[in-house]
Order: sequence, then structure tokens, then C-alpha cells
Amino acid sequence: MQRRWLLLGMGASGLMAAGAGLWLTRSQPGGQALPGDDICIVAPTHAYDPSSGVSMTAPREVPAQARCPVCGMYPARHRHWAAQVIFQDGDVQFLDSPLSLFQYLQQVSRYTPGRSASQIAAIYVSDQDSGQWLEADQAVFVHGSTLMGPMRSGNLPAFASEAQAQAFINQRGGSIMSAARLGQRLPDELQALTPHVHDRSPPR
Amino acid sequence: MTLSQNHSAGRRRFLCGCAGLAGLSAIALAGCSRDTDGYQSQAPLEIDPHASCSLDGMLLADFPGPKGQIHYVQDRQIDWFCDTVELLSSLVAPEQVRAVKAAWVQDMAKADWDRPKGRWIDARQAWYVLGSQRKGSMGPTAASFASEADAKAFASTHGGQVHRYADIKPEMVDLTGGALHDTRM
Repeated sequence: MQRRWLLLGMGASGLMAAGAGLWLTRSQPGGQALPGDDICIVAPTHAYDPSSGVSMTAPREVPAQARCPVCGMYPARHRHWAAQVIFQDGDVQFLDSPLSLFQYLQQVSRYTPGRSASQIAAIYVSDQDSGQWLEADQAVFVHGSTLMGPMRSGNLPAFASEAQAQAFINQRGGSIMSAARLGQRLPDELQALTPHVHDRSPPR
Repeated sequence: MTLSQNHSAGRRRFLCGCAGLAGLSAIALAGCSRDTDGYQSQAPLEIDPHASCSLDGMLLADFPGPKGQIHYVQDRQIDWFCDTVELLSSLVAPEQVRAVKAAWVQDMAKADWDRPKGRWIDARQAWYVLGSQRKGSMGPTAASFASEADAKAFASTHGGQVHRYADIKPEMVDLTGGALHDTRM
């Protein structure tokens, strides 16, 4: 009996998803404008959970279903590359890699409508060796190594210390860069990997 | 995904998340009530802005290089691929047991490399250039062409080797870059 209810529930949520999907596909090309807050975003932010017991700006584990707002990938599938941006209200946006993070920081409002860089409270990247969260400001990034990122292209693996980064460089090549440097400007070959400008928000 | 996980995010966002996650299945699901429309047909679909790669979630419309789609016999859901290496890897893998109704890639002699639209051709009749200088959404890619002449012309400009579909072996489109084999040795 219980199982039957469970199945019913699953069916219902499937229908909901289907309904939302239909509504999405039907209402897109230039049709009636949607109400402003009904934006259907591929990668919604995840809200802070006060019962989690951690502070609002502490790094959180990546949910399996979280998507990167820049490229659409699932950050949980490449955990040693994952990054996260936490806003002042506790909402978090997970990203698949440091490269996507710096592309995101260049245009926060494009990828998370209604948000800006000034509302960011904390930024974390993953230590390439251990997967542990590091404050992006403190992390040491390596550009130009032979290691391919989640998108099988160049990326910016992050490390907890210069010594770790140097050990990596001895094996894989590349050079050290700070978050401050990368925040100002990405190397041209990485900037070229930025996704097309394509407005995913509805007409207003 | 459960409601409780997204509880504080609100129901609307939950719905949106589902639609996003379901991504392409939206189109396939739309066929549920009208089998004669989408499901029976194996015609290639066009990439919509929310179409996501079935392997990694990447948004197809935002990245350069040839894309792909596989339609299965037993499955209403179409699998999208942000890159042809991923599609070929899925198609020629010995583990691939789902009966394929149709597989489509894009003719890059006619489609714009940076924003390919339409120009769908049968993936199993196509010619591919592996190892060229041109990069797809996932780095090194397999440029796809309807004709051998176009594939050769591309290879003479951008480098790489021309292969017909039948000659593509799983190890030529290995997504792991050989790392799995390394650990076995």
C-alpha cells in the first residue's frame, strides 16, 4: 500500500516536471511575456538551510542535481574541480570549475538574474589534490598545464599552497596565478572558451 | 530529487529546476499524449536554448562545434550530445545495447562552426575528421561531414585524419583520454 502511494507520488512529480517543461516550450518564442519572476533557469541557486548547523557563508557540499550556471554541467560529477559562490542571503550557486567561476564573476547578473557581484559573501574552490574547499582568495591557481578540466579543455586547477601548485607544475607544466589576477582578466585562451552571449531570461 | 531538499527555495523554483533537469525530456514528454507527433518520428529535432547534454549537462546552444542526437527505439527521450566525440563514444561502445532508431550529427561543411544550427545528417553514414586543430564544446572533437570530399577539404585546412563511421573504434573516441587504461596496467 505504501509503495503504491510512493509510485503515485513519483508519477505526480513526473507530471509536474512534464507540465513545467511543456509550459516552458510553449511559452518561449516571442509569445506572451511571462511574469517577471517566472524565469525558468537551468541552474537555480540553492537556499541556505539553517538546520544544517553550519554558518551561512561556510562552504556546502554539492547536491547531485546542482547545475553550473555558466555551462550547464553537474559540478558534483567533477567534485575536485567544483566551486561555489555564496550570496549575502545564503543562497549558493555551484560551478563546475574555477574557469567557469571566473567567467561567472565577470557577468554575475547574466548567469544569475537579479544578482550582482556586490552581493557575494564568500567564494570557494576545491583543492585539486584533496577536494577540500578553499577560499578562492587564498587558493593558488595554475594556468597552462597539460591537465584537462571537466570540459576537456584548459582550466585553472586550484591548490591550497604554492608548494602543492609547484609540485603539480613540475609534473604538468603551467604557471601560478592568483584569484586577484584572474579576477582582473583571464588569459586570452581561457577567455575564448566563454560560452556565447545568449539571453536565457524571458522578455520583460 | 525530493521536495524537502528544495523546500526553502519555493515551489516555483522547484518546478523550474525540474524543467531544467528534465531539460530535453520536456520535448520527449510532450510526445506522451501524442505518440504520432514526436515518438513515432525519428526526424532530427532542433536544439532549443535549454537543451542539455545527456552525459554532462552542458548547454548545447552556448558552445561551438558539431552536436549530436540519438533517438532510441524503446525510449521516448532523445539523448543530446554537446560534442560528436561523446555521441560516437556512446554509439560505438560495446556496452551500447539500446536499439538506436536514428542518430544525427551536423554537416559542418554547411553549418556555422561556432553556432551550428540544423544541417542534420545520419551519424552512421557520415564522415569524421579526428585530431584537427578545431575545438568543439569539449575540446578536441570529431568534425562531421556528409561527404568525403568535404571532410578531406576540412582536414587539409585544419589537420586531422578522415574516417568513415564504420572505421571508428571505441578507443578512438575514448572520453577518459586513456586514463582508465593507464590504471589497469
